[in-house]
Amino acid sequence: MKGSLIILGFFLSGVLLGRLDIIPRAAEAGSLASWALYMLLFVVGMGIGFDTRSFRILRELHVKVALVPLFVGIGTLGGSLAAWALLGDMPLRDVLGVGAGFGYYSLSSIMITKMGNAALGSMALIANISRELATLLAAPLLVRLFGGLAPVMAGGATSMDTSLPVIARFAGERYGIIAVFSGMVLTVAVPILVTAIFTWM
Amino acid sequence: MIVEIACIAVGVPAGYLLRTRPAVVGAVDRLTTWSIYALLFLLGLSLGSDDGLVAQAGDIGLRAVVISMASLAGSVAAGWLLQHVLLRGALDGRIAPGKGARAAMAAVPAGPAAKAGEARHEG
Repeated sequence: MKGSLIILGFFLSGVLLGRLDIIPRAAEAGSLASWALYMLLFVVGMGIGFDTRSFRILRELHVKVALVPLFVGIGTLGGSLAAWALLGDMPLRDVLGVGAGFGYYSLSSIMITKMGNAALGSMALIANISRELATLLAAPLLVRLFGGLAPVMAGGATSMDTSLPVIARFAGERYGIIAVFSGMVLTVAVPILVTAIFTWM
Repeated sequence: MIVEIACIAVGVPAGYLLRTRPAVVGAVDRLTTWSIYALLFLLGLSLGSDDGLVAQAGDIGLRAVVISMASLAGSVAAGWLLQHVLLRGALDGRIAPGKGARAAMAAVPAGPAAKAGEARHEG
């Protein structure tokens, strides 16, 4: 939550400074952003490598747990298709790309900015932050209405860290374990899916 | 876009090999945080300096919320189908609270609901 606010702060101060027009345009040079993105992807990869929890969880739990992140993907795809139909005038690729962030707003918005454009990247930032926020706020309600798996599904990639505390608290410790696993799989899936969507669609 | 995937693919084994070095882990953590800050600042900058985009801000935000809420609802629906139709609730029952899983959850704060959940899923 605090992390999201700091990130939003950096984004908004960028918007403000851009409005004031005091930063020379060279500062937004594409190559700088490209190298920063490559470095970010590398350190994100390292962060995934540091964390061996998902292997341990797979060893402990029934293999059915692997269906959880798969179904988050299927549900997100279905929801994105519905949103695409509802919005009417957006390319399917753009809607699917924004949806495929699974709440991982930092990486998805940065990648979509580079592969799409700044408007779409900003949309991805807002969409995925609001997915995280809605999961945090609605977790108790989701558990009551749809059972313990619901906040895990809602949290997407965030269920391994930022929304993990509310999942463990309201759905129980065992759903917390599923949440860590599902979140890790989806975290790895985000850059791959976003790249695939913007390369092949 | 193969470069993007390659960056991650090289990072994962590097991270795995260096995972026991606190200095590396700390540095990677800070690098990740600050490159995210920098890149999102740049994204804000390109949005803010573009008058056309600023005019569309409300529209962009509305679309974002429609997509995220539809994705969230779709995921919850898919989860309900998985648990109650495909697995008939078996997802809860098959989870054995073994040592490894305990260790994996060491960092998770367990609230009162967590205890209730444990009791409900016993047996």
